Amino acid sequence: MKTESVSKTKKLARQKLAALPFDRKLDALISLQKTARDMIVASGRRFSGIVWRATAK
Amino acid sequence: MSHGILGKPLQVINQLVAGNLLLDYAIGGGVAALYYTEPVLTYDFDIICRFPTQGELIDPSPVYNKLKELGYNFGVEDRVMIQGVPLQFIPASHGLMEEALDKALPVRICGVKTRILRVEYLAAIMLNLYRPKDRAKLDLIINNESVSFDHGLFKNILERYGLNEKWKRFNEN
Repeated sequence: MKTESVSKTKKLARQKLAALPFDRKLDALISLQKTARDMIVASGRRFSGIVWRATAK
Repeated sequence: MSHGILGKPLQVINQLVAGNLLLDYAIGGGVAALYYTEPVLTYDFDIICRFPTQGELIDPSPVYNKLKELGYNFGVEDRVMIQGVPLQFIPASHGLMEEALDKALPVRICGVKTRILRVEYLAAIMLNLYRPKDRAKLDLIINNESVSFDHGLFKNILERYGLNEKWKRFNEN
């Protein structure tokens, strides 16, 4: 795939993500938080963020 | 009516407003960025707010006392945990932040009526803060064509709050 085409595809994908319903974006945010936590822990560092819902009472 | 993960925190904040413990508030920070653009990593739910004042003094303690009374726990840097979401109350300082709060838009999030900073003010605040995480989010907002962005208003805000130089620097990087 040509570079120009890759960048166009990426741009369109980002536009689609921005247009998602907010509830779905929140689900994506929590997935991002979990991924960040797992990567930080796997690299032996201390995770100082908070994964939402994980501590829900 | 759907009550997603932000439903309960927003209900609690609305309860604080109804009880006159907060005068006004709007969603800001990473969650506001998430509202307008693609999913972006954030850990805090930032609330830009106006506390009742006595002269120049801001006293947030009635809010914190009420939250404690409701059984919510406080974490680092005055974050309060409401159903697993770390909430941070940020007083709207004079100037840009205050105007941003005044111009916030009414929206419904997770089934709850609330207000959110306009994207142009959010971008201006991020530019003003200029931390790496703010610049990253600003880049996502500015460079996503599906974000409805009033460039005239943004330019006007930059002009009035002396942010043109920072904007120039941001675009050079």
